[in-house]
Amino acid sequence: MTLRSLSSRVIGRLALRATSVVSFAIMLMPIFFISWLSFFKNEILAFPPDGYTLRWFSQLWLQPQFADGFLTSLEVGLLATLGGLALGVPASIGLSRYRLRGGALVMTFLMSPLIVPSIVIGTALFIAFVELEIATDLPINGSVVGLALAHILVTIPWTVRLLTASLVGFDRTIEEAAMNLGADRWRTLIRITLPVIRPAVVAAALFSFVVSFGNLEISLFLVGPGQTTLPIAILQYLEWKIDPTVAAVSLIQIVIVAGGMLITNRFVRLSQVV
Amino acid sequence: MKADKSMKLLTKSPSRRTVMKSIAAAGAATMLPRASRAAGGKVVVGTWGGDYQNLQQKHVVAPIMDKEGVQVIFATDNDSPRKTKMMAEQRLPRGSMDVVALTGSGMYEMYTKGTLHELDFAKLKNASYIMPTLKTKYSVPHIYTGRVILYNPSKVTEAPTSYADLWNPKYAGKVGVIDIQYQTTIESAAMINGGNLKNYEPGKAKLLELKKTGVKIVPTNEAMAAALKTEEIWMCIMWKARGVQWQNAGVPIKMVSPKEGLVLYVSEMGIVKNAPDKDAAYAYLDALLAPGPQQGFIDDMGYNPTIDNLKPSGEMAQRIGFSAAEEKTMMVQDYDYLAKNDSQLKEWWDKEFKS
Repeated sequence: MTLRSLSSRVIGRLALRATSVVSFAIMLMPIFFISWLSFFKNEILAFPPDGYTLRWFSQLWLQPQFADGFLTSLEVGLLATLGGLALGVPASIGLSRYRLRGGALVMTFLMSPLIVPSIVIGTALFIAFVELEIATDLPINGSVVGLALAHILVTIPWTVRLLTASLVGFDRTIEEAAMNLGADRWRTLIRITLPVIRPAVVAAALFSFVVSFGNLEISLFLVGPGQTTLPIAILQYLEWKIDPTVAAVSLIQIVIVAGGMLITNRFVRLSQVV
Repeated sequence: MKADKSMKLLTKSPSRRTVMKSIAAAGAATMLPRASRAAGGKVVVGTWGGDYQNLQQKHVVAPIMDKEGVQVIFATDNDSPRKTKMMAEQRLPRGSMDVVALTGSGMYEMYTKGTLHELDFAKLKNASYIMPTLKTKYSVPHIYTGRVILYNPSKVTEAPTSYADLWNPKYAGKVGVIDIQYQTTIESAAMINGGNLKNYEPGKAKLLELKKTGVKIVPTNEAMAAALKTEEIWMCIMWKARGVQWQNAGVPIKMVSPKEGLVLYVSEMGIVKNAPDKDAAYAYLDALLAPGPQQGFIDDMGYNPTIDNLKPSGEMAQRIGFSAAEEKTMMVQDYDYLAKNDSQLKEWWDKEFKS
């Protein structure tokens, strides 16, 4: 190995490390700033801070909307995740296994909620639900079911994209072996296919939950009287106040989600998933 | 057959006992206090959330509505979704909201779209106290404040008196405007360049002059507060109540009313045309106008009362109130002009001023 090639390898390695560090720094910067800001003493966010306090965390008890919003977001997020998987898993298997006529068109259709702005989806769904109520007397608008159905729409693209990517590299001979040994299609799906694509299913569930939990635009139109989601509660708080309370709420949310991911990690290695 | 039965019922002479019972019932009903007619109802209030919702809960719901037995449910979101919902639900026999809170211009827009119920002010005990400048036939004013000039007294040593002072070359590069306040900014510029509330056009040329001096454009009210705090900006136009909140938060500013006049920001409440419970909605509007809740919004939010039987007193009068001379210059925006011109004003702002 020549000195030249050695030095170019060292430079390459250093460049890779530097890029990794910068990438991580960029990704962690919002979390770092939110955490830092939540302890600022000054009500108007400006640098440098006047001092540090835990006051904004204690203020949260005076804003019941944040707790209510968190619970509603959690409920809708879980329903949307389950609904997204229930629709996304069969759709992905169907699209990746069978050469369907118009399969590409179906895939584009399933991806379309990512292309259409959320605010347009929210408005369109609201108007559609009103028309449905006129026709059937079913009050879907303002119900958790209506909200969850709308959120399912935005989780489907994530589920389908992640699962089809996983299924492309799937070795079908394992399934064939199972069927040769007497397993029917359903048993093969449950015992072979799903366990193999489990990391992708978990990743899809995580992405779906995060997308639903943080959704603001669709929820704004479909949330019912007496209900709020956490993003709406944060937005509404900012309408009248600009103190670091929202940073404190966000930090608590980050801690809870991170805790959830750590627990999940005990069952599925997240590093293999995302 | 059915028609015959109906005719018989209509033409049948009522017995003396029935007539006496009806008269007694009608008489008893008129003797009941108005609020009790709404007792036991449910009112859904479409409103902004956060502090505005919390203070309604504290000053309107807890002390008045709960005692009247009217259940209040808040439907919180922003103006745009609220207006969209009102328009989309027009065809429903029963809308999802009874009462809606909107800005003056938003309320006018909804009235012109036919989504609001014209109020019967005889059903509001406190209606006679509403400030005449703020009265409309489709809403009640809840709170108001005026548009003033905010300045940093350590940097702007000579207190401004006019919007024109923002154009003073001494402060070039230290004046800020807020992107989302494009309407009021063009309006203010128009007021010192031959325009008025029915004609914002002269404001455009004046703002282009300000642009040449290096005006800072910040995206939101919050960004303006931060820029004032760090003294990156020394002077701007803002609602007085916001200025008071920023003073409370330690921003080094003073406020002054421009000599061109005091244009008001009014938060209004109206009843939706297809409100499921109009009696409860009237009870809510009446409670909003009562002196107790109005005082609560003075103390906790820094906005002025919209009724003339209550004035801010003591320190609050100094901080949030307006003098008799200032009150004489109060004016409300021409909502019709704004509704017709908003899109072209926004287009000019984005393409010509901000570019």
